[in-house]
Amino acid sequence: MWILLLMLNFWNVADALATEKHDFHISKCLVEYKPEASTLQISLHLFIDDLEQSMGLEGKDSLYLLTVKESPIAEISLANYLETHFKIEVNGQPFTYQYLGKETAGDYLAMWCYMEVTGVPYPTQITIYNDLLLNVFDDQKNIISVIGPEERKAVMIMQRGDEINTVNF
Amino acid sequence: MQSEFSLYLNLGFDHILDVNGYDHILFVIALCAVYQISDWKKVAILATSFTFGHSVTLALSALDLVSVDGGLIEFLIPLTILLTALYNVYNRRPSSIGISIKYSLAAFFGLIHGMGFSNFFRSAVIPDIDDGFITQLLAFNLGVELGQLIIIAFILGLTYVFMEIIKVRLREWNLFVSGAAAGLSFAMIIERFP
Repeated sequence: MWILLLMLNFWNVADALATEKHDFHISKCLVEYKPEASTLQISLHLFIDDLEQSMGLEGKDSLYLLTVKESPIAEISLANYLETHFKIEVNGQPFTYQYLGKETAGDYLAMWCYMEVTGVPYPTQITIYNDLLLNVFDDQKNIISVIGPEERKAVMIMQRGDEINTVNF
Repeated sequence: MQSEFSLYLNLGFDHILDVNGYDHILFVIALCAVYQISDWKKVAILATSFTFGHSVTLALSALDLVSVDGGLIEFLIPLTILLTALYNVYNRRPSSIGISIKYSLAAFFGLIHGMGFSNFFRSAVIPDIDDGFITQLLAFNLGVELGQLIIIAFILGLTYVFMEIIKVRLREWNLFVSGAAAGLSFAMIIERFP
């Protein structure tokens, strides 16, 4: 068994440059309250091809995200796109976040986007609106894990028809 | 709002029963094609062998201890279906050695399917504080098992209907189901050839 796994692993290395496909549509996100800095730190994991398809539908195309050909307006387009499709409320008040940056995830198919909300009050309630990629795929699922005060955790999942979730801490 | 456990359990359940990616469904059906409800003990051992295999690679791959090219796995999965279907046709009355081989093969094929599950799981797992990873992995795996049980119940029920009501013999039914599985998996093999 181990020999086979090793062989498969070798094949993997040899094939590392081939483009992969994924036939499922998932995004995941960690929203973490940092009491010492009064911030919410947001890490969002998206498949790059899905994101480009979704942004393309809104006229934001040819961005070549995270490639050497990346468009100079890619960052600002992405920040605007995120602002429209991912919104956050703390204790019933909408908060805007700052887009911090992005990087490829381990397998190069996906990426992490980082955002931060500053000046956050002690959260007793967090509401998130997330319709990312729901315009493209009817089986898109957006999973969010929220770490609130005292490291209390809640998870939520957004899909078509269910784009808003609230958690009370 | 739902618990982390139920969310990931649902993900696993929906993933194996996803009709858009029906390769896992087809494999479980092919695995059961030679059996009727009275063979449930053999089916249970076979399903457990398969589960053992895919749980091992799902965990190893989720922990980044094993990493295999997703495209290769997507190609190997229909191959496991085709081989299982062909074995169903060839294997009329398996000896005890033949049965042991079949259980081992189910476990071995499970290793391949587990890597397929892990490609999905890895894009859904959210590493965070505490024991989130373990909870998510166990719940997802359990969801897959529940989905697998539904498929087994479905195919054995269908076999019952065809044998008892339509009076088809098990061998004929097996050839029909295995033939269909072989045809569908062959098309996937061509499509996914690396």
